[in-house]
Amino acid sequence: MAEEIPPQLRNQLAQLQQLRMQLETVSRQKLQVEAVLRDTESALEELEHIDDNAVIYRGVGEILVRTSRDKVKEELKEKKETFDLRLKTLERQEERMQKRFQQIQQQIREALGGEQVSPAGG
Amino acid sequence: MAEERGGMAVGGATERVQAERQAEVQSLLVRLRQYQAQAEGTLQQLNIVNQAIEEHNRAIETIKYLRDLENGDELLVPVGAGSYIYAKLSDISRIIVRIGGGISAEKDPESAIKHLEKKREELERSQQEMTNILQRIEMEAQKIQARLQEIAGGGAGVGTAAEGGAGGGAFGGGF
Repeated sequence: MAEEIPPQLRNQLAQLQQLRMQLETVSRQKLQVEAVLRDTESALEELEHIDDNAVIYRGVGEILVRTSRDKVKEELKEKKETFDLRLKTLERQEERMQKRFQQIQQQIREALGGEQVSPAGG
Repeated sequence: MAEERGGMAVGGATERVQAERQAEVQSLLVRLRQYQAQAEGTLQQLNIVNQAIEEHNRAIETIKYLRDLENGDELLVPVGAGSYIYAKLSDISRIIVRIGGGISAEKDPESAIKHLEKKREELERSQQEMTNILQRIEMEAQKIQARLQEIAGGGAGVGTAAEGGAGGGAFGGGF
């Protein structure tokens, strides 16, 4: 029969599990932000190679509205700045969570006397 | 007395080995489930990329075909549910192409095709990367499954292996 897990250890395991889920969420958010950034950067790069008087449209819902190259460039640059900042925030958040994760993992390992901690996966 | 003590010592050692195996099985099952979740996520992304490649192929082929037509030529434009309306081609020299960030730009047919081909190449690179990731996950999962079977073959403490779905079906034919 399995031995009773001490309450403190059970609590640490629950924290570890919760952190793992939070890390997955942050990682998903990071991927989404990175995708938006790639898309925005690619549009900005494309605009660099387009004539000043090229015909440009902005997608609004299902329709396309005509706009100017300079206006679009400004909008995309602002968007890029916003998402760069969001990415940095997520990276910092992820780093903090990783450290906390390793800390708890170490505590559990010590409590178990050097045995392997299974719910990690980190 | 000595035999009794010896028996107890052997019994204790067996229990310890069983407990260790049980712990290893649990750990392997957790890793297997993680790989499975990772594979499912990657597979979903791969499907999206495959659809995007297909969409680019259709757009390229359509532009290539239409550029040989003349202004004023009659076309049938789909309006959904297999229904079409008649329309006339007003200008084949200008194509509107999405360039990213919710922005589209007007291009001549050749530049539009070139742009779409470049995007398709990027998508194909992503497709290749994802396929490689899936292969790596599958290999790792197979190693875990082999180890689980090895433990099960040893016959000790693997009751939870079957419960956890590690009997070989988790990755079989998934990708």
